Amino acid sequence: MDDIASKLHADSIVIDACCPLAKEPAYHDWFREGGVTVVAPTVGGRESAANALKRLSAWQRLLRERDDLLLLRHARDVQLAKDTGRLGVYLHFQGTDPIEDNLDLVDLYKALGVGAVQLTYNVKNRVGDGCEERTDAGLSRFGIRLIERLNRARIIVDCSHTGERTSLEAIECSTTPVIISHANVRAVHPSARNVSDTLIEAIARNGGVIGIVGFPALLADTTTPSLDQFIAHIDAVIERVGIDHVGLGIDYYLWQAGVASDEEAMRGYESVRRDGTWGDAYPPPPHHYPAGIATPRTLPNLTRRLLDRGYGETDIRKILGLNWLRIMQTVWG
Amino acid sequence: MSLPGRFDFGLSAAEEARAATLHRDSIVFDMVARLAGPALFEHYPAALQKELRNRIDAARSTADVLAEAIYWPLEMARLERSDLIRPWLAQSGLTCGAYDMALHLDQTRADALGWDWDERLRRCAQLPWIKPATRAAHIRQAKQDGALALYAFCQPIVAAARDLKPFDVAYEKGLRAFMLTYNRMDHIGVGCTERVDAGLSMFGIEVVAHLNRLGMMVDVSHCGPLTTLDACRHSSRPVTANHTAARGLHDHARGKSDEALQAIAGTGGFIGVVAVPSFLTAEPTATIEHLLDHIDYIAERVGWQHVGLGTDWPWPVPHQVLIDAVGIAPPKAMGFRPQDRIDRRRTLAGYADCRDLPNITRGLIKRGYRDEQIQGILGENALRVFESVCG
Repeated sequence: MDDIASKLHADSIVIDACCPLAKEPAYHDWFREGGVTVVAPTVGGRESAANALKRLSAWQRLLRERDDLLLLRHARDVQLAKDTGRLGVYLHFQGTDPIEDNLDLVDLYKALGVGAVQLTYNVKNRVGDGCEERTDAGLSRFGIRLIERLNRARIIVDCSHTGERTSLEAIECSTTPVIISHANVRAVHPSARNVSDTLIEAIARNGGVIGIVGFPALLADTTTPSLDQFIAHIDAVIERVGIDHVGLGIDYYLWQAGVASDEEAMRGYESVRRDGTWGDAYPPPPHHYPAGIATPRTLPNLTRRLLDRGYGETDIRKILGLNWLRIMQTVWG
Repeated sequence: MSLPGRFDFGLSAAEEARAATLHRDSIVFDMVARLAGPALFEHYPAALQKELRNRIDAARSTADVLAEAIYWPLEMARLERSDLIRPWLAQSGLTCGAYDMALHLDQTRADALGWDWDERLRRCAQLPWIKPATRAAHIRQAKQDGALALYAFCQPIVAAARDLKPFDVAYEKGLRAFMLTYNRMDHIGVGCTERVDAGLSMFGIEVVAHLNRLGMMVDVSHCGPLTTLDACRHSSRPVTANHTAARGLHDHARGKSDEALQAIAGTGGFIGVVAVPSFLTAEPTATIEHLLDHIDYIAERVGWQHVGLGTDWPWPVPHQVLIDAVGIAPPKAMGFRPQDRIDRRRTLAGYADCRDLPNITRGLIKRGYRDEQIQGILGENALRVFESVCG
């Protein structure tokens, strides 16, 4: 049994669509160790264009210097990364502040490797409302123009952290499938960060995917979630909309348990609570990711548990990466 | 066309005399005064006109073009090359106008708000007859000295970053009024030409509280209906809509509904009426009577103590420069739409530039306002709010 699981995991394309932890190159080996084919490091979203460009410049250097990384430009590059044993990378913005008022920057970011852009981050911005905001008005006129531009630039539109109305309008506006890179099922565990059945159904109807997230407060009413509590959200999406619309967006990050010390985690936590980008959906640390997959290093345990629970190979491959790959094929080409 | 300040209201000689004395003795505080209009530039010698044209041609952005032209008359005076603007200002009777602080595109700068204050206003302030105003006392002193007071006001055409620190820096530099949103949606709230409407964001509520603490006026001129109401609900100090109109009289996105006017007045606030034709009326020939109609309307509904001037029109830029650099309608990035019908070529008959400010006094006399009310509308109402918020 163990052998089958290890072999299946090693053989699968594994895509984690939300990896703030991977913005630190030191942790790339952890993802590699966990059999991850593709990471999506969060490289910005809430800063000026000038600062975003500095960070993207550092990524250009890293990608040039490191021959064990492959920047994904097209969906076919995922298989290339897998075949050549490199870690596939596409860059992810969580927020649209780096676009400022200038839609031409969208094309520049695409050229620099940004493959997915999340419209808002918890609070209101020029584009729409975040999911923790006190209002939820929908997309702005600029937001509509931004989505047109993201579509044309072949960048994936992501509605994680985004208000429901803004998300539904984004799905309506976009000509390519909109995704939720990392959020769980609100009906399973209530949180402003999780998504309603209405939104899940809309995402599925538009051909999108919802990435299941490991951040404890989004999983269950516990600070030490189990792997089954993580899988419960996979089950819930499948129950509602079928196997083709669920993936992984685990959201391993720098202040989680097993990465940062409790003191570091608390300092970081307090700073984002102070500036208001994290609201009540975020309890204080320590943030323990699901037992068994507490860090990306032990991700094969997920495949093992899915097999134990009776998932078939085809379905497991879809959950691990093929559903995301379909989005990449559709959007990036 | 009437001579400046001589719009035909059909006043008697006695009424004219009363108007002249009253206007001369009053503090005239136009919260969004645009000073001399496009016509001023036609009066400069050809060589100076050519020089301005060259500077404008060399400007790198629309904002630079506008700034060059707007401050050029003051710059010419400072360099002792032409005092042309002075008699125009004298004729206007203007005591206090606005100095626009731009938001820098690079929001990471600590001085993103009001970054050009030092460069331009400090230069202007070398003129003995220009007084930067950060307190009401400065405005009263300017009246006594026959100087022009300018207070700093920021309209966030570039949306403000989610950060309170730039407000502190800008306050130190003299900023005394901040508009929460400009037409569009941003981190703070929703503007008046958006496709959707909603109240302040959580950050917007923090901004209002911060402006209250600093002693900076919260302005809602370009805010949408719900953001306007929310600002009034959350501000502990008087709120302004320093350049707007009454939507109940003319349905335009830039106007305020009766409910909004009442909410602003309810804070002890101030509503300045614009001189922008399309905001005031749909009639093809707009006149100062339309502006006065809006003053009447607001005074009737919420009290004369809450209404005054925020003309904002026309922009003090040579006509052709404006058309070439900016176009007849504002650029898309400013968030105006075709249905907002902004046409930079149009002005109100009877309000072509600041020299027509006496027409306000004359028109208010014609409409039967008492001296105390007229002085309130001309400037005391604005000054009261300025003093209450800024000291």
